[in-house]
Amino acid sequence: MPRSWQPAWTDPAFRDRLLADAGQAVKEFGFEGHGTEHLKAVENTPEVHNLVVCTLCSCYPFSILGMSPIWYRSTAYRARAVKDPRGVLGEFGVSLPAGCRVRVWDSTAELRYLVIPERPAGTEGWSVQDLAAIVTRDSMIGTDRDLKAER
Amino acid sequence: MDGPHDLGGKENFGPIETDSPPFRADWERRQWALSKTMAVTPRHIDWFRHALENIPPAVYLSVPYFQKWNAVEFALEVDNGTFTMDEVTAGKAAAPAAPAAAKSVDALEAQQRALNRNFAVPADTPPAFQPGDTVRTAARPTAGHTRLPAYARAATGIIIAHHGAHLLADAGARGQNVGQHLYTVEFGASDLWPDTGDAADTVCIDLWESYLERP
Repeated sequence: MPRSWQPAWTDPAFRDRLLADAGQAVKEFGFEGHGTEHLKAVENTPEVHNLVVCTLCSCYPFSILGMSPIWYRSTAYRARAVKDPRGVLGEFGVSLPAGCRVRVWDSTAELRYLVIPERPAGTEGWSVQDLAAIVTRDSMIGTDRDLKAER
Repeated sequence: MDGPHDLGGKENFGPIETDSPPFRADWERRQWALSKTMAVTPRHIDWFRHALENIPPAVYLSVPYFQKWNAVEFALEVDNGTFTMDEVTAGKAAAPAAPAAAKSVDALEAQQRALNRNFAVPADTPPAFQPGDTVRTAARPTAGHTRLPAYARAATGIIIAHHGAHLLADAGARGQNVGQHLYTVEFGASDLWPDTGDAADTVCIDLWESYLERP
C-alpha cells in the first residue's frame, strides 16, 4: 500500500513531485480513484508533526489508504483532533520531540491529505520492499510517528 | 447551518478507540459498496453531505456511521423519485425489477478509477487574496450547507495556499455549479483555543473566498 513513500525517502526528485502534486505523483504507481485529484502530501520533520482530520464529515483518501478506521470517523477523533491534538497523539502512543509543533489539517474542501512520515534511522541501504513494509497507515494520517526500523 | 456534524472542538465524547477496524459488521461493507456503486442520478457529494447534516442530532451522534449513510441513501432516492416512502416502509419494491447484471472486477475497478473527479473550475474573477495575506472568517453561520467549521468562525489566520477556483460546496448542495477561489488558511491554535491551545501549534483549513474578509 504505501509504496509511494519509499521513493519519497530515496528519490529527491520524486519527493519534490509528490510535494508539488501528490495526485499526479501517485499515478506513477498506477494509483487513481475517488479523491486523488486534489491530493496533498505534507511532510513530517523533526520540527513539524502533521495530523489529518475531517471535523465536518469523514473525508479521507480512501482510494489510497483503503477504508478509514472507525476511529477516524468517530465523534471523539473529529471533535478533539483540532482542539487537543497533543492529547489525541498521546492516546495513540505518539510522543513528540521537544520543540516539535503540530500542524492539523482539517479536510473541509475536496483536497485530501496524506502525511509523509520521517524515515527512521537505521534503515540505510534497505530495499524498496523492506522500507515500504515499515510504513503504517496511521503514519500517513499522522496518528503514528516513529516508524520502527525492524525487518 | 449549525448541525450535529460540526464537531471540531466539541467535548466529552470520551477516549478514542485507537485500534478500531475499518468495519465492524458485514452490513457496513455492503452499505459502503452500495453507496460507491449507486447508479441513480443526480448524485452530488455536497447534497449527500448536507442530507447527513440534517439527521436529527440525537440520532446523528448515536447510530453507527454507515447506518447514517443508509438513511441518507434512502432519503436521497425517495427525494429524487427512485422509490417511494411506501416502498421504504414495506421494505420492498412495488414492482420488482430484475437484478442488474453482475459486473466484472475489472469493470468495477474502472468504475472506481473514474470516480476521481476534478473540482477545479476556471475562475471568473481574480483572487481577492494571496498567500501571506491575513484574513478573518465569517462570524455567523450561514443557512444551508457550508464548509466553514463553527470553531473557525470569526477567526484570524494567514493564507498559506491558493488552489484556484473550486466548485463551492454551499452552492453544490443546492444543485448549482459555482466556482469560487479556494485557499488554505492557517490558524494559531492559541487563537482558536485561547485557554488550551499550544502557541506553537496550528490548524490549517481549506476555505472558499466568500467565507473570508480582510480583517
